[in-house]
Amino acid sequence: MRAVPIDKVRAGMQVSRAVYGASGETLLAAGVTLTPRYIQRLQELGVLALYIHDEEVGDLEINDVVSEKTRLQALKITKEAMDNIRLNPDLELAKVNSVVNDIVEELLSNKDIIVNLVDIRAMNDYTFGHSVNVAILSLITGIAMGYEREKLCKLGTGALFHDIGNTLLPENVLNQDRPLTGEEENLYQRHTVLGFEVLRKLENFSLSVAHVALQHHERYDGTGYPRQLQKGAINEFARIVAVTDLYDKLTSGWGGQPRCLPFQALELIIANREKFFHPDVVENFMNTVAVFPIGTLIMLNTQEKGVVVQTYKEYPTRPRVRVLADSGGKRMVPPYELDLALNPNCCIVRILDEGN
Amino acid sequence: MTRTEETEILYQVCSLLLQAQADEQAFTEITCRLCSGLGASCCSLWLARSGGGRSQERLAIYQAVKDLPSELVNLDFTVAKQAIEQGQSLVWQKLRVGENQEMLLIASPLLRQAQVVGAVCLWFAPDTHAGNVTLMLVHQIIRNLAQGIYNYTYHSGVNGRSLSKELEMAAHIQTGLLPEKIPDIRGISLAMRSLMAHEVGGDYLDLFQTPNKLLGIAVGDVMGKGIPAALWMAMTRVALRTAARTFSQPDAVLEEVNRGLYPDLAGQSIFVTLQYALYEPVKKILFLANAGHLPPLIYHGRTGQFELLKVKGIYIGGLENYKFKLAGVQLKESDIVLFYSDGVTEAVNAEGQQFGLRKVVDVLEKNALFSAAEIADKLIIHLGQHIGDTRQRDDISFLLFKVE
Amino acid sequence: MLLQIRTEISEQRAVLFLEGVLDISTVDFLLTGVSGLAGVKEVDLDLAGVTFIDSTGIGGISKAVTKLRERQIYVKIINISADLFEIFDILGLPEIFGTEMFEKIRAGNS
Repeated sequence: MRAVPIDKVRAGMQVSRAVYGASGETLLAAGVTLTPRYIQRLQELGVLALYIHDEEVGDLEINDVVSEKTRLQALKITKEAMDNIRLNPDLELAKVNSVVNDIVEELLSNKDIIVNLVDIRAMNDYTFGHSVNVAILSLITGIAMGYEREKLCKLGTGALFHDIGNTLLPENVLNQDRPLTGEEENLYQRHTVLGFEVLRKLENFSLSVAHVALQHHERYDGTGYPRQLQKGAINEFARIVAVTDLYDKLTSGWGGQPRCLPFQALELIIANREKFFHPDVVENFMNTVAVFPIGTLIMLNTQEKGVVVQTYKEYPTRPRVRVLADSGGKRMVPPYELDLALNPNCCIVRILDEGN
Repeated sequence: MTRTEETEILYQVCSLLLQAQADEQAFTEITCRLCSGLGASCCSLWLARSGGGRSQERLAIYQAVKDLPSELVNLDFTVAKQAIEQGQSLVWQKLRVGENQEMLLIASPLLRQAQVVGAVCLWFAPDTHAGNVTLMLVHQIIRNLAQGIYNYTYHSGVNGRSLSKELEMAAHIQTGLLPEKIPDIRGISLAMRSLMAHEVGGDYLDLFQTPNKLLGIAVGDVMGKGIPAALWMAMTRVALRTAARTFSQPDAVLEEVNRGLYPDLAGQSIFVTLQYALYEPVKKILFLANAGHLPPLIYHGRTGQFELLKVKGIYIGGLENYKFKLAGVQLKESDIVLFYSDGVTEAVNAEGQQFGLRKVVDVLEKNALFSAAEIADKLIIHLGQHIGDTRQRDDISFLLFKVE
Repeated sequence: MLLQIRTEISEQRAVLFLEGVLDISTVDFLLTGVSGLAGVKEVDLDLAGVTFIDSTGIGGISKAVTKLRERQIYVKIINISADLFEIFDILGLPEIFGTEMFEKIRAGNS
């Protein structure tokens, strides 16, 4: 399977990964064959891409770093908590703790985690899927930084609720597929303070968790908001969330921006180390996501075309490739696989369009 | 079999293939190495001949086990013949060898761009159990053997040189001139990449350790195209390597190269640009002398600043007894130094826009936390994305190292 | 022909206006044009009309200059673009032939 942008998706294609709605309900199940109606509906919901089963590419197994069950549970709890925040400011902490714990345990039991999946979600319910994915990415980064369980749980909770302030903003400031006006931008920036105010009043809630909401838009060089904190003055969890928040936004296509490929998002983050981001965090984060995730279509220097089938942490730019077509474009039957890590003379020269 | 063992075999085969271009004995070493690495009893390597007469020629055979049936060798020939003439491959085929002995066989044609250049046969004891990993590895080996034997064909001229092949030959002289292995220098990561254009260009990159344990880096461009350019490149390389053994300062090395090549180059419309740098890994100093080549780019990882290390000097063959200047720069941790040919900055996309120095700097900045190999791979990809389906006009080659 | 050379001779001074592509396919044409000049003491090579030049073309110019100088002819290269001059500069041509040989360097792209 591989990710295909929605405008390149055609009727008759088979969905290989389910698409979920805001509270974890299935919008489209895996295995479904697409019809024009489905495609139209998915576009209306703001789904930007789908994982599609591709005959030519063959079977590719892409494992998520946490189980589907846990991801959905996290989605559900996050939505409940955020929906209830206006009416009943008492979060059901036990539930939250339990799901964060589950994520942490699953991640810790997994050696050499490398994120190969881009989270695909409907734009209409952006915040919740985003929150869960940011929590997962942040936790993987935390593990890479050597955090213990207790610290990981705080980081996970903080990441899960980093955008809780959004629920207190007027609808029209969010869900815009155009750049915000100056006034809207000012209003939007308030989500940090609003989130902090909600979270810090909660009982049994660590203040450092609330600080993630407050400080995740602060920048290393002091040009962030709301308080223009710098470097070491920024809460250490917020430093991590600053990175994972942007990465997720870039790869999922947030605010009407075109989706970035993982390697492009990663490059943007690396380029902004010591400007927006703490270099330590960037260094740990960059090894946790696959530069060329499984399913990426590529061209080799031999002019052969292929698809990434396996990624290696130690060799981020040298995955294992299934060669699908020879240099003349003729299909390779049966295809064979080639480890770029073992073939120093071979390299990727291009990333081919996801739609081709 | 573990990954490191696999890597080991592949690297050995690859480096033996490079040696084989000068010394056919290396083919025997390859067959020997394949036997021991894969647990085979016997291995043979064949060359496809396009001239009249026989269609195949055995490059090497190695028997790792004593007392193998004498018929094996004949059978080996037949199998190789089928592989070469019919493109037939056999995988784990059980064959009767001799009176009452059976053996398992892997035989495959060596294909390069759909053309059979040779064949390889591997014989195993009948009770050998091999998992998928071995087959995968065999696949990789076959791929490398095909390229290696193809190169060898053109170097040795076994297939009878024809004029139409000359350009291709020149291209292979060039490929063969790239350094066999990247020296291991303390405290830096190092990578080089070349994307050759269809025609022969004159890009030249070399990398070696000098007698006093410094890293020698030479980049150059023979201005001119085709066979003469490739030959001049070969001569330049020999002249530089020789001078680098005798002289320790880059300016003196270039002066020696110029002294040697001037008489033949003077007055021609071919000339050679050449830059020679020495890196001293303990004090982290880069010394440099330049004969008309593009200045190296230094990206300072700590500050995000970049500079071109410009040292003026005329091209090789420009003036007799020219005195070159020597420059030095103190490098720091996370600095990246890039030596490149104009093919990098002048790579053109469909709209006719050049890649440009600014984008090169961007790629370094965006990947500065990776090691040299990853940065190099990324630069290739960014260049590839830029060029797209447009025909690559010029060689693209570069060499970079990063102070870790 | 991809390269056209228009020659204007007044008294003992010749101006060669080069127009088109100066590369491996046209470089001999330049050299022939230069060697055919008789009875002049000064030659200006005007590169304003050169749309493309490759390394062989640069080699050709350098060879042409050398040949003319051997004949005691004073050579200037005029109307060269700044981009091309930079390439000449990196190669060290001004150092070999003297910076005074280059006149009227044009700003902007070649």
